[in-house]
Amino acid sequence: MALTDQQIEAFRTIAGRIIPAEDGALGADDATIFADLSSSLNDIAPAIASIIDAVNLEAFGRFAQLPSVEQDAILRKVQGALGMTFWAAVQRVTLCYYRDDRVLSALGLRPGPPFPRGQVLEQGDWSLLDPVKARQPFWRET
Amino acid sequence: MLTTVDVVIVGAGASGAAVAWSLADTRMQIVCLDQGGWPNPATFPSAGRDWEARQHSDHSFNPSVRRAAADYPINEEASPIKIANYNGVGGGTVLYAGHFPRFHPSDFRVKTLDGVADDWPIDYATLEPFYDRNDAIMGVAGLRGDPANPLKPERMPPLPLGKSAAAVARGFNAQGWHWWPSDSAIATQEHEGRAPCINLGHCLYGCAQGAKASTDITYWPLAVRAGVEVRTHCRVREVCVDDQGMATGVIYFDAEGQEQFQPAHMVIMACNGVGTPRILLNSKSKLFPDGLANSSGLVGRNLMFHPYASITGYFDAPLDGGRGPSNGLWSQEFYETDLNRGFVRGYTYEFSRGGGPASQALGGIGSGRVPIGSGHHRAFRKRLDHSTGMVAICEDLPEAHNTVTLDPTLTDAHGIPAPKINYTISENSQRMLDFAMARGAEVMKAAGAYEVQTAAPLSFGGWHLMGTARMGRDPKTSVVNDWGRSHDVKNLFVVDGSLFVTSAGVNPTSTIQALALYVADAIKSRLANLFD
Repeated sequence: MALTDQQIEAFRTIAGRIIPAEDGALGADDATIFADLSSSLNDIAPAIASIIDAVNLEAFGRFAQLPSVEQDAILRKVQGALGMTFWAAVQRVTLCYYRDDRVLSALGLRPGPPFPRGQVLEQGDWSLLDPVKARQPFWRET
Repeated sequence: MLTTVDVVIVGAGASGAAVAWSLADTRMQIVCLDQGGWPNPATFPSAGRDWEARQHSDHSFNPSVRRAAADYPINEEASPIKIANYNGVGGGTVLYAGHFPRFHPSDFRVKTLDGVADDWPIDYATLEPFYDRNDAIMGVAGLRGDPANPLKPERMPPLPLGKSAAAVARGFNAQGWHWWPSDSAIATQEHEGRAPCINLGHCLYGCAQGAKASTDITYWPLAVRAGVEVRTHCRVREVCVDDQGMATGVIYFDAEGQEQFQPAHMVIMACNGVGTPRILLNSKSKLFPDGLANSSGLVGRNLMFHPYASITGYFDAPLDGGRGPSNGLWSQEFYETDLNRGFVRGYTYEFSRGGGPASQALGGIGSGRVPIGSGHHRAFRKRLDHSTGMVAICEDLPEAHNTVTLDPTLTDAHGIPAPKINYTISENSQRMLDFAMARGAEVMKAAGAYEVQTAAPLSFGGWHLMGTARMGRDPKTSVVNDWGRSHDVKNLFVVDGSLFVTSAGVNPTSTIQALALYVADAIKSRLANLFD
């Protein structure tokens, strides 16, 4: 099943409320992020279509025109009603959003995959082990 | 028909690789069949921008999510814990964390010490040299001198604590409880041509660096060089027998989907605690109408998982996030039995560092701590890289009603009946999970967490599949003898987690591989009269 252009546009509005452009952050409806997102929706297209239908029903087809507070309330209601179907969309939106280079940079994270550059992990305080080293063996002899 | 080989091994995972490597000494002709292919580390998720998304698709450890061509369906509706596996060369070691604890000596004497389940027919001392050999080949990082365990050989330096494990260590110290750097099958320095860990933080989904020891890069190159043939994309349907009740070989579907018969003088099952009983139960014949090696009726029974609890703490101070292996430390303060706790046997706490940004966001949304909609960014920024945790891996006792059977209707792509799981969490395990969450929360609070989140059981945590072809001396109460040979079919062996009599409270891979080396050694020492 492939989503229609109209459904994709409707879902863009919903994605933009799941992760909104607020507090100086981009929203999931950002053009680049949503292009990435919309290219990966086909395998969950039935779930997306169900969510759009449920949202339209709750918003009388005017979801995009509603104030954000009301949009959030509708999404919470649909989330409660659709459960794992709604979660499939949240998961996909979140996974695409938090791999955008601009989003990661704004969070102070290095964009791109972990390999091959790797990541820095400090040794930590090994003196913490001293009291445990002082302990006598306590495994049960047989 | 294919040429008869001396040994056919079914499954190229943790145990199949170890037994193949050891038996290669004999210069017998050995073929190993696996339903999957060779993993290609260059295509592992951490090498691409969609690395976190692929945890939820083609590199999920849940085969029902992954749905690769090599996978088979599993009916797990009647189990609160879902199967995790990987079908391909390396098996579960490709998608595991690399935890490499050993059983304790007491784990082999459960009945004698605690009056529950059964004793193993072997003891820690018997397996110890095989643990040591396996550690050397897989490459283990850790620290000698853990007071909770017998002394082990020198290993590579331990994985770094980082900020996160150090925070948890402070919590254990404040409680006066044991902790120790984990034994991990992760190279912290160059080991046998493998590069050291560079903290990709993606061990569970395949190590692109090759620092984590999976058998496709440890045992298999050695075994193949010694002459063992690995035949990939070959799915075994059944083990065949002759009129004398001896195994004659296996029927499998090759990479082109053609049915083949591989004749062999010896058959070794190494398909894990679900795959092995599945094939044995599907190997019905006039002599063995209830499935092969099943005169005891115990093939597929006594399935054990390790029920997991998770404990996550949220801290004001910044921590490591997903930067680094999830492994770091363990605690075995509550490993040995103390009936005052309200349950028998015990568990291990294993530190779990954290995930990448998307995983942390999803965790926050799923738990209701990070909203969708207004307030999302403020809540997420507060929590990003400010949490860490641990899991409790609880010993599961064998119960005959926890089973792997053949589904009456569900089949795989080749028409082979799918396994059906029936499993319930026992009262003892539930009490242990509850206790582990309560004590774990105390550790996190003592470590300075301002909020603690606990959960059990982890429904996705069916990594450890054990007990479904148990070993023992009595053919009425066990499937194989004390060196892995079927009581019923004298040239049929089992070397995977199906052998386990009890599960202990630790990850099983090092014990599975030690057992495989032990069985191989037993075979080699009896070659003159192996089938008597």
